[in-house]
Amino acid sequence: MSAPMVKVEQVAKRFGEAAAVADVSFSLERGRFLTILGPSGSGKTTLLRMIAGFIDPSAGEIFLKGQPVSAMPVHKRSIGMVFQRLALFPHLTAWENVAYPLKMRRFDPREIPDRVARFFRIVKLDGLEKRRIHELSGGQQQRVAIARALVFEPDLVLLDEPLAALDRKLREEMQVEFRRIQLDLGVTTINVTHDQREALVMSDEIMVMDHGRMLQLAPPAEVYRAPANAFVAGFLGLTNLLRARVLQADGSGLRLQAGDREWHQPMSRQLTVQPGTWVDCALRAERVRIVAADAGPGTGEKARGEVHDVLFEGDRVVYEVRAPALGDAVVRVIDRAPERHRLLERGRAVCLDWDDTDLLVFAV
Amino acid sequence: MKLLSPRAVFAAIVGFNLVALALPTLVILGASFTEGNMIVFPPEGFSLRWYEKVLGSESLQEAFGRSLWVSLICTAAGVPAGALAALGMARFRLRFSGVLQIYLLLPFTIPLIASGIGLMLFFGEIGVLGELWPVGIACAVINLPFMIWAVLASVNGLDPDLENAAANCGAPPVQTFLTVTLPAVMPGVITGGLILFVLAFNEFLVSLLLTDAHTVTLPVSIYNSIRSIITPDLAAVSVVYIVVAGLAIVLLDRIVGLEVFLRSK
Ligand SMILES: Nc1ncnc2c1ncn2[C@@H]1O[C@H](COP(=O)(O)OP(=O)(O)OP(=O)(O)O)[C@@H](O)[C@H]1O
Ligand SMILES: [Mg+2]
Repeated sequence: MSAPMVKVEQVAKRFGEAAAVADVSFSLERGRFLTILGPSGSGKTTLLRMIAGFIDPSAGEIFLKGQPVSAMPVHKRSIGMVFQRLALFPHLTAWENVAYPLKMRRFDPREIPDRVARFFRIVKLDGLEKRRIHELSGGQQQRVAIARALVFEPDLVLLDEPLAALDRKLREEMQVEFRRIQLDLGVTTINVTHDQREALVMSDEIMVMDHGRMLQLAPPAEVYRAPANAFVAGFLGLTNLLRARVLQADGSGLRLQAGDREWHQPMSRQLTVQPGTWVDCALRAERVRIVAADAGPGTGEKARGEVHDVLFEGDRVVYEVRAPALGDAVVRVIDRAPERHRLLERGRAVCLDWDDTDLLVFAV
Repeated sequence: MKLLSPRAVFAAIVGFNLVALALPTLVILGASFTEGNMIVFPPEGFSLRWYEKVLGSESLQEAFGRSLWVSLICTAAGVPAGALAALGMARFRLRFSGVLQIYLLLPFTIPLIASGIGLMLFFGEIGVLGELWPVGIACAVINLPFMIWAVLASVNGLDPDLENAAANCGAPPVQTFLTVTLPAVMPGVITGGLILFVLAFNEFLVSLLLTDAHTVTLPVSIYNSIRSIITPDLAAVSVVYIVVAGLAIVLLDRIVGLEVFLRSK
């Protein structure tokens, strides 16, 4: 079996005392698309720049195709990068920007024009070759930057939130577009973002980071459905987090208490917690059912509350419900079919219900 | 009823400033075309006789040539020195960067007469006083801060990722410098170079101290003739200066594009 395209082994980076990246290890197979997702300051850019070679790790080693790269200067690594602020060469035309890596990497000069032309077609910019960078729109500049990173068919492409500056519609277009190109060329890619939608849409794998640490690395559906901890659960999607006390723990599950409510929580996976300790419960807003309290006998109810706020977003409604029984917690509920029934107005007494299996429990 | 519109007031202020700034130039320009033998404004009649005289004067021509030579030497010495100093200061975030900046400003804050005497003693000591090239070097030393400022302005506007991008594209450090860094700071280098050139062309005090009868530059030559009788040919020579400055600005606009270094971005 051949070596993975990228392998990161216990890499850390300290700036003075503070650790920007701490003990991160992962590997990425050829042709895969990995997205590093995390809040601002979590160390995403730092990790990416260590792979590109702009900064050296304080500890650990990075391998490209099985070769350690710590002694390899940036320009010897076969890595293309799209920078956050693009970093296109302002004194060159779009064509010259895309041809630049080919010249520097000593491609056959006879091959360069055809290759550049091919990549202009791939990013759908043909016809704009002669323009200077400042004569292109933001989206067009983005495409030039993508073409420049891909044109020499590097082993690995790195993207540092290049889409963050675009407006939402264009950003979503570019996400789909880039993914199409990436699949066509089969190029291994690491993308950095704090846009969870982008991560879910584009990636084969998502790595969630916080405070320089890697919290989870898994395919998008798994990260969403089976988050590794309360932070990951809270970071993706709209999630209610609730602290609860463990009253009793046995093979069948846990007896939990939050506010005035006590309930038996069946556990699908093993969690060793002692009675008397605290746990975090995560509940996705879209898994909560909401009905008006006076709507007659419901099928079931886990908590009662009062509608505190209603956010109408067109294709969905988000209710914020204050539940005195749960220690006055605010539970957010997504109703995905608001056109099917009347909206519940503010101040309305409601019943909330959810399936036991949708409540995820994490040790604190 | 409307009094003066803000627009009219603004136009009046701008107009006044333009006239005030241009007045000496206009006076000297007018005086150079006089027909009489005295330097007066408004000129008496119109003639090009003083231009004929200036263009025909061998000593003025030679002084002009020497001034050009001094300017070229000053530019040739000052541009690389200033550009590299500015790049170094910006790039390496030198520990004593603040002190260094002050040090680089020193020649500029010391009265010209003092640095002129210092340079005169120095060049005398190494036995090159009376040659022309030390004048150019002296001008470069004194005016170096302008060059450094011009380049620093360009360097500070530079995206630091530009060089990372070049390396990432496969360019080794020297190539990165030649193909990306240098072109990106070129507007600053050209601007600074032209400033150096014009300043050296105009430089009077230092030239006065460093030149002798055989190596007078144009400003010194003019000064010498003021001391005898003031004739309108001096006005004509002054116009030569205005033309040189004008050429520099046109050149700047052509090569760099004035909007490049006037733009706020
Ligand atoms: N050159 C540096 N010197 C000192 N500290 C730094 C440096 N670069 C980054 N840091 C710190 O390291 C941490 C991680 O920074 P990094 O830029 O990797 O975050 P990020 O995840 O990319 O954030 P964002 O989403 O805002 O871009 C931050 O706390 C930051 O302040
Ligand atoms: Mg970042």
